[in-house]
Amino acid sequence: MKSLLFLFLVTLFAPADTVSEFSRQAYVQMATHDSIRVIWRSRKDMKPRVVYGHSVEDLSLTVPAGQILTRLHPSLGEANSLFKDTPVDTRQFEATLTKLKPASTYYYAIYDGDTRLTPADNSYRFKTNPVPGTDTPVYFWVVGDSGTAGKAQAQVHDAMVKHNAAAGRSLDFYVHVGDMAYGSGTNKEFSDRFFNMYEPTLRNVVCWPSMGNHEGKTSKGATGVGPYYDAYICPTQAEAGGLASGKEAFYSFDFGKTHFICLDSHDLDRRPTGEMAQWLKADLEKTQAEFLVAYFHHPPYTKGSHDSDKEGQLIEMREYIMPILESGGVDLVFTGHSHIYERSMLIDGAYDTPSIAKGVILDDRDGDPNGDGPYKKSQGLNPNNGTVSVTTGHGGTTNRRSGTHPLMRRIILDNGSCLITIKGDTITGEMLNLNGEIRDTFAIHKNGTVEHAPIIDPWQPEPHKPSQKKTSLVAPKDATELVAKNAEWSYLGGSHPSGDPTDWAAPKHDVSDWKVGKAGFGYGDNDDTTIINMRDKFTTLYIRREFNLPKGATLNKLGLSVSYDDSFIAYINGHEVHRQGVDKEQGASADGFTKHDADNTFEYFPLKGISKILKPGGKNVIAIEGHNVKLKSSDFTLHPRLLLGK
Amino acid sequence: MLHTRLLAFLALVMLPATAPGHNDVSKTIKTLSAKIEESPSADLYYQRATEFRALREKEHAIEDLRSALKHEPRHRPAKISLIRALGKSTEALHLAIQLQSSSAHAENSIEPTYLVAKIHHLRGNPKDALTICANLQKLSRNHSTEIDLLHAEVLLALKRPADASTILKNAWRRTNSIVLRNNWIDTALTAEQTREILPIINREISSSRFRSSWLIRRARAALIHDDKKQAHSDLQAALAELTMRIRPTRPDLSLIADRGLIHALIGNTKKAKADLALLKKSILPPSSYRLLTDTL
Repeated sequence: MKSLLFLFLVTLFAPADTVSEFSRQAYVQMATHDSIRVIWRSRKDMKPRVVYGHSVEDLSLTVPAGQILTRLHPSLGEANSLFKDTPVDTRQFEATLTKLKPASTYYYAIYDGDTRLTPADNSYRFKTNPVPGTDTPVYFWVVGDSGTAGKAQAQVHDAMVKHNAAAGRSLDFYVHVGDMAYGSGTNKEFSDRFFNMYEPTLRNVVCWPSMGNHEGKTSKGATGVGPYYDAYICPTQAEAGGLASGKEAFYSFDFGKTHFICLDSHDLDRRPTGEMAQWLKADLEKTQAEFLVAYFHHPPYTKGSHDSDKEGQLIEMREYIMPILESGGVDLVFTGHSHIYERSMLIDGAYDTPSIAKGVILDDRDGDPNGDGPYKKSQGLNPNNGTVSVTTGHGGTTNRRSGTHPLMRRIILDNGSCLITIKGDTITGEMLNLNGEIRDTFAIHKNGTVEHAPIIDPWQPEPHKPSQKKTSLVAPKDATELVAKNAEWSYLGGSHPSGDPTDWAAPKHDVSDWKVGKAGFGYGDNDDTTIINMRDKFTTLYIRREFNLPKGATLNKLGLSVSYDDSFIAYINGHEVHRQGVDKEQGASADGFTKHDADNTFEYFPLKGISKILKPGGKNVIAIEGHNVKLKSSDFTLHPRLLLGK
Repeated sequence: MLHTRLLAFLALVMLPATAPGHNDVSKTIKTLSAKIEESPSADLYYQRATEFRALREKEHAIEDLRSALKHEPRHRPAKISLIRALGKSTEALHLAIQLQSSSAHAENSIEPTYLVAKIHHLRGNPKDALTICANLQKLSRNHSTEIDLLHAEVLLALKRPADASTILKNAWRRTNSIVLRNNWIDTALTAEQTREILPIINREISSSRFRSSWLIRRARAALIHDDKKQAHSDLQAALAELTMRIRPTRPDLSLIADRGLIHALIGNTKKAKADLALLKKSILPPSSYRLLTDTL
């Protein structure tokens, strides 16, 4: 709630930074050591001009209208047109600023003729890259699977901004490992779920992207056509270092002594004979960098919301691409797709399907400089000297874990992002969660000559136990009924409550227009008092009522006794207190249901650790959403009691 | 302004915590199956086929693509996916030809035309493939590099490496793609044309971190000019580098292909055959070690 308040205040009192002339605010792309692109969109015609210089007050350099590329809807028949789903009156302006000094900060402003469109604000700035090969530290942000426009995405971004402000640090750039615009990467989804969400960062930090499967629904790697390719300008001609790929789908760039490689794991040939793998091999043979970071969408190692032992794209990236990357000396691999944070030990040669730990882990310690100490590798890029693989698909969606990947040292179900520093001879990675807490730290120290032998019997993470809450079928005999069997409840079926997915469960929510009936609710099986005719119509029923909690009640003795078919989520005073048979999310977005028969029995679920949300001596609200696994189900039951033990 | 920002804030917080994301493939298939049971459509079948393909369940994917086309015979993504899934079969060829002829705009006809050419090539009809590739080159100047690579492959199958080399060189000049340049160099070596490529090879040898692939190329050029001493020296240097780069277990198999080629060029047939046997047992497609096979 605090973060919501923060968001509210930020939204309310932020500087006047959104200018109506823009249908997509200004952002920077494809920084090199001597050039950068400034891009924006407008729905009205203009005489575009970009001015820039070394201070906000001194913007003495100009990119005139004649040198700014204007891209239009394809129906207007111009070259370099935008994707067809863009509104017809959209104009995308792309200004290339050249002859810049390396590693220098510039400020810029956008004009329409003589009218300044961007405020005189020092956040409209950018920093050019250092000359490739120079000994300059790099600090970058890695995010994956974030494009929901939801609270978690905003909080993850906000946590990074606050973390950097507190540390007095600025990002050199931002890497997105794909799925930045759910559900299909359309032009509108890009605007709403990527550009609007990250706007304050994107105006001064370049995002280097890799395409996710959701963007892949509208954009094609082979042709470079689609909203993803309209949004980004990626190197095709080795403009920022590396070798020319000829395609924006896969590319590389240099920053100081680090070489970055982006691959398209979604819709291009992943085989060693494919164009992408051929380019990768050539690019790796050529680079003289001392550090090597690769990123793409589909993880070679994961047991999060996806399983790298079962899915083709993931298997192919592991079997075909990882050998090339590792023989090229890769240090770090970032991926997304799987909604989880998983960070490996120092590994090499883990190409088998299914993945096994034996013989592929070079260092099984935690890699934490304040723990077991950093991983060690030889100086420079050396074949098969060890890789850390990070699945960072936790940038804004609900996390999920399906198992335990044997190569992982850290497995964390928490929204967040990664902040990476490469300085001197060390790479340091941190996972920052949405609350601004560092949940994982690892480092790779590259110095001298280090030879590893694979560990025969490496450390292994604890096996995953799906979170099935323990149930006791029998309620305590001495319990008092706070909400009795067949009690009256307000109920709503056939539509979802208004507001945020859990607003309806909050005490103040108005349910005066809901129906009232006696529990149990449902149909079929002849075990319901209030018959809800939901078959073939809807699958979710919402019920709620007030209850009095006596003063002096033993708060950890509260429990739910429920007869249910198939699954439910219970809330007290707006807070979720128990979920049964619903894997993820809630309300209209709830998913992953487990079938369950009521069988005329009540199961008891103790409610622990909820004392802070209860109001002893006052009115409290219990709310429950019941879910049927499918529309055609033969029955549904939701009949709760709330009990207080002594 | 305040009102606008309040609305913007409300819009932000009222959006669902998670948009429709992409989750566990098996669960997505279950969800799609339930939707198909309720109200089948071409799009739903196509989506489920995509998920089956992710699980490498090709037969199920094909079945769903066929169902999608039954519901909507003009469902282009389903048809293209089905053509790709059916490989070089007669049905794939017929479907590709059908899609090619029904594509109203020239731009829409490029992909099916490419598929027709590719299927002809895979079916061992390089002459048919060649005619189509030549037409594709004319259809769009800025065509995908896939077309150039296929065109060159077809010409190589017809034992016309000099023509393949020209196609690749032009494509490289058009795109600057390093893959096209390297394929041009390899094809030029097969065509025994070394004049233009040798300066590039020498430049790469002096500027690359790993030089083995370029040393092999220079050795091939030297052998064309009957300079066995230079060839031997380059091949030994390449072998020394590969020995350092090749992991004893679970190696990068593309490097094994390079090592096998060095052995074959040196005349160490036994070791070359051992590497070839390793490659044949591996997951690599035969095209990735064709040069080794041809040399042996």
